[in-house]
Amino acid sequence: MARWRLLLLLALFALGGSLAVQLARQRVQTPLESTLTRTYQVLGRPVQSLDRAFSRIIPIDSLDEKEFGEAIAARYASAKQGDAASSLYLQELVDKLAVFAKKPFNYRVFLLPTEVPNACALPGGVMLVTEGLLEALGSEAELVAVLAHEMGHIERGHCLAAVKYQVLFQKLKAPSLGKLADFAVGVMLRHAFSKTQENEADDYAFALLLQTPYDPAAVGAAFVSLQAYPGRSRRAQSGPRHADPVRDYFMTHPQLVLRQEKYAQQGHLWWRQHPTAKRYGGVTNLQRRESFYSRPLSTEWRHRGTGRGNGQSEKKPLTWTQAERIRSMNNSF
Amino acid sequence: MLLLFLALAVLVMVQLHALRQQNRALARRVSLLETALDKDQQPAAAEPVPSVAASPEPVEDEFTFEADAGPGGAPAPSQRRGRVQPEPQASLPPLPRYTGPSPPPVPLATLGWWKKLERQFLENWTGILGAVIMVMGAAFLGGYAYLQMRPFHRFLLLAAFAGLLMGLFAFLRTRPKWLKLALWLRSSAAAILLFACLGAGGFPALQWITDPFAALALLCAAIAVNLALGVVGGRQAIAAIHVLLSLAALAAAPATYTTLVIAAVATLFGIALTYRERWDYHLLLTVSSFFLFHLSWYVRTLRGVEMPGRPMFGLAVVTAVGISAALVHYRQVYQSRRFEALPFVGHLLNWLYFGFGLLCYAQGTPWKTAFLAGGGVLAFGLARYAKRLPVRWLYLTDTLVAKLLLVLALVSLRQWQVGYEVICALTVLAGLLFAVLAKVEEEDLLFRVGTWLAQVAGLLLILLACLGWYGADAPQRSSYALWLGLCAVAGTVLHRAGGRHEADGQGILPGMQLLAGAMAVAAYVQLQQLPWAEYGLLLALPLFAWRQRNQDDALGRGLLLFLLGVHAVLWARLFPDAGLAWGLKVLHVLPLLLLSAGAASWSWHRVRKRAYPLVGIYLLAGDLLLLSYDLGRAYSPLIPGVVWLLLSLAALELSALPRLRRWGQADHHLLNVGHAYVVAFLVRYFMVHVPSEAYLGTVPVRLVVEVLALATLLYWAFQRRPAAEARDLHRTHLLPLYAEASLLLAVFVCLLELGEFWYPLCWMGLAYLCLAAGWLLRGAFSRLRVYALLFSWAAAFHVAFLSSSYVVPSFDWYRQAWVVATLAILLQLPFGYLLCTRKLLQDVRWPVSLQLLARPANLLSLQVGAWVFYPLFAAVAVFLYWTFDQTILTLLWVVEAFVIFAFSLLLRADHFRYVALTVIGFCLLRLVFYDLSHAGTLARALVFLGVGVVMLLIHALFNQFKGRLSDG
Repeated sequence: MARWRLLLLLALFALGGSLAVQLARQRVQTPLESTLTRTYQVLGRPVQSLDRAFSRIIPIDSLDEKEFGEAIAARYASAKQGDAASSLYLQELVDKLAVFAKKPFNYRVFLLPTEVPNACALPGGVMLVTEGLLEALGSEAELVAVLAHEMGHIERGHCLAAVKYQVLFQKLKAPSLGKLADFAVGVMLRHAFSKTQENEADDYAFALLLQTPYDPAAVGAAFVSLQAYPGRSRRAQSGPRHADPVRDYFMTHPQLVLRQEKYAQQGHLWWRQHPTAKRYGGVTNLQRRESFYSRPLSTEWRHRGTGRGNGQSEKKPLTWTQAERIRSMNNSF
Repeated sequence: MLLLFLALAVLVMVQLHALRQQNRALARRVSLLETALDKDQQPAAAEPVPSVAASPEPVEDEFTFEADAGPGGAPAPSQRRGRVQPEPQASLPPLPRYTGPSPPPVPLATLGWWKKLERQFLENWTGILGAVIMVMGAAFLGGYAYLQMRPFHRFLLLAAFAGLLMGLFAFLRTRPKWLKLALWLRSSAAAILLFACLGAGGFPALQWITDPFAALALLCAAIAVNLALGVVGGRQAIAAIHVLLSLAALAAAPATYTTLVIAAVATLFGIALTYRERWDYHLLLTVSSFFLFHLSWYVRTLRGVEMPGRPMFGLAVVTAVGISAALVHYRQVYQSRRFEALPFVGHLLNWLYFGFGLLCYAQGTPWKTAFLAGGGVLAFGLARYAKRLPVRWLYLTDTLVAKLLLVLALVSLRQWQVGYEVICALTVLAGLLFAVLAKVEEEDLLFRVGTWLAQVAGLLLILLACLGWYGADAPQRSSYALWLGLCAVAGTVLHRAGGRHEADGQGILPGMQLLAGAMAVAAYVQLQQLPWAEYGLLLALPLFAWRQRNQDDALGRGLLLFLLGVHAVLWARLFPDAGLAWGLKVLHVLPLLLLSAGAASWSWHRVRKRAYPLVGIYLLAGDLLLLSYDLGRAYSPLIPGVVWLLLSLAALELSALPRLRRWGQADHHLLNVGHAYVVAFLVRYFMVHVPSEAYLGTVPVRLVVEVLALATLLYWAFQRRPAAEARDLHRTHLLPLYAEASLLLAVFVCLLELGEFWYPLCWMGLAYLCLAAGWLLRGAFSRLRVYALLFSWAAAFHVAFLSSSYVVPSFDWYRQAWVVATLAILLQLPFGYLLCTRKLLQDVRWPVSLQLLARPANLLSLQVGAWVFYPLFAAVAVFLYWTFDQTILTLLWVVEAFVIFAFSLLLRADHFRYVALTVIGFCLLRLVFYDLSHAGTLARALVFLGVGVVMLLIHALFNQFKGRLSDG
């Protein structure tokens, strides 16, 4: 017994020692000095599971959500829209993505004439995208990644969870009471698992991108593209570098730099596992507002070691300085 | 007038004191009388009570208003003690003895407050107030005369009034009842005469002499009269008041050398009286009066025309008075081994006045250092003389004065451009020297004063060094460090070299050791910028061994402070510095490690028969923690957590060494250190490793760290400590919890590393793992079987509520959530079977710290099948309802009912059979009322076929195995 114990001890020391040596040799860095958002993201999973179980029990379903979404879509359809060509371009991309959807929604996207790059999802298959986002992103693949992220929110029921009492009480002809209940639950619980929901939507986006011809590294590249937005660089420079238990808990999204690193690594791994594959980028498509499905360009195909998104993924993990530039760039998607 | 009122105030104070003494004397007499009465009552022979005057008990305090037995005043104490003293020559006829009121006084204690007040007023205050009112009347008369008469006539009027009072004195002094009043009238007459003579030369309303010499001569004559009356008064109160009045009058005269000399002569005359009698109050008042006069004279001469030779003249006068007053006490009459407060205060004040006088004239010249030091040496010599006499209080006083003068001399070194740190350090050394000498001579008071002096000066030195650190240059810091180190060494050496306490063999300067530790830390702070200054700390290493050899607790406390201080300084300075190469940093920290190890090694306490290595161990652990954090972070922020895990293992293994177990419970401290490392790793893991997505090749770093962490925690969990100690909290409470910690970390890792898609399988995997571990290891890990059940519940919950709503953007069947959920359900069936048939929830043992869980776990063991399978069956039913189409739901539920039925046979549990039959009944109803109307033709046919087949299977099973049923 003592012999086995000694062997185990030596093995542990060997493992730990070699790991430390390798880390020192390769000088592996982290995007932030410390943060608790990922830990909260994991700890929020049980709470989110209970919330989802409760949402499952109450008598509302996808058809109710669809009806709710139709009302929202009607409201946005009558509001001022962005560029018509861009709107059509977006809707075409969403229609292609909606093929993979499991919920019985009519997915629609509305382009808002706003310069701030943003996107969000609403119950019933409604998505909102700003014109600024189309300008901020670098390729069609990145745009598809963002749309897939928003679709993930809808498919995974995050949008319905936020308005479930409103939908329920609307059936009972008392929507105000439902709004109040949603607000109260949101205040008390939403911060506990909002970061978990964002992670789920990111995972969904990556998985969905793998089903399309687009470069999976575009998920990480989309986060990188946002650093070009000048209004955010100042925030990124002055953001916190260390963990703060209270601040990290109340953050609705994980830091952008963490998400970027995660999906850049996953894209990098995918390319390593598929060395002969080719994936579509679509830089020109985005500029021309002509989708890959209507006009594929042979120059936009990416192979291992080429292309913008792929180039990002081929790099080593971000250094501290690089990470600082895009740190804390929280957005709605 | 001010001086007059001052004199009156002093008089009132003296009177109050006298009254208190009188009261005490009377109370004592009453008690004696009562004792005598008690004795006399025994033979029942009533004898007359002796009069108060005939009481054999003398009044101890002489500063009273009793009349003298002989001419001039009360008998001196020496006379009362029977000594032969020269009778004072007096020109006046002898005064009658003042015996007080003729009837025996009623004891004060028996009187009411009004009677007490009345008696005191009548006996004493009438005289005082009478004299005061009379002087005031004379003043009013003078005022009236000022308006009506010429100055000379006014003088004559005042002189006549004084003569009148003298006449009254001559008339009343032969009557014992009025003797007191007569004495005060005489003093009043002298005071009025002095006032008149003073006014004749200086006050505008009374001035009739323009020649200053003549005026001064007249004043001198009046002073002479007053001093003479002070002599013939025979009592110190009268003598003191006349000296005081004389000095007050001189203070009103112009400030010249002549007035200073006359004042000095008057004072010396007053002092000379104290050579005749032991008049401590008189001496105190005389030197205090002269001090005030001299102060007034000094201030007035500062503003006037510069007087040549003033410092030397002033020094001479002050020295003459100071020395004369000081020497009064070096006589046999003061010989006493008791401490006497009044002469002590008088002597001390005289020295202070003397020192102040010297300071007045030596101000500005650097040579005052020599004067002060010389005074200190002189005082010290006098102290030695007083010790030989022996006059104990005088010895103490002079020694204290010598100390004070020496400290002042040291302070005056500032004028020689000596730094404050040197002055403080020299004061520390002087204080230590005095303390050691006092300890040798067994003088506790002087020892305490010397120790306090050294400690206060030491604190000041530390304060100076700390405050001056930022602004000081390198030589200045070196100077601070030198003096601090010197003081620390002196304090430590003298602590042992100066002697030992007899009781415990400890050194003599315990308080100084703590200060020496702080000084050493402050010295290191000054030198920390020097390269390799840390190695200077190793000089303290032998002290740990020395402490152990001598078993000196005070030294130990000082070393402890030093150890903590240098650690704090070095941690604050060295670790944030990222510019140092790791090798250099290790070399810099090495002395700290050695010091901590030394503290742990030489920690034996002989009296308590145990070692105290805890401080050394914890500091060493802290050093290693910070060092690994700093060095590791410089290369990768992921390294420190890994190193801390390894350090926790090292601490764990070291704690298992039998030698360390015996060394002051070092094993407990090492285990605490190990726990701390594990906690530090967990904090680091949650904040740094969890957000990291770094890879080493294709291997995620975080995953490797998690594997290492889980293995380490399990290694801890498998530790077994010998049950040698009754209260080993590590064995009973903490170490068993590592199994739970491993499990919780495993759950966290699964949540982090796996997607939600895999959770049902993950929970079932953990359930099987716990089941296997709890089954194979039994004993201490049997509780894992209960946790296995909890994991199976988690899987059932996930299958029921989450899997059905989990969507995947893929059309591949193997990527669908229901596939994983189905696999989890299939895994739960054998799991439940094993749990029930092997009765694995029985005989579960819980550690002390988890006893709360024992009771609910026992409840689970009562109906294992129900606890295992009903959640599963319910979850499956819900999962089927939410996942599959409504048309085939009846068929799926019937299949589930078949499975339940099969398990009722396998487990011989009838309640499962009842449930299965209920479900089948429900499914038949649904078949008729729902499927017939809602399902399509094909679906309806398939469902009916399926349900029929399943029911036939149930029938076949029932017939085949009905013998296994309890009611079959």
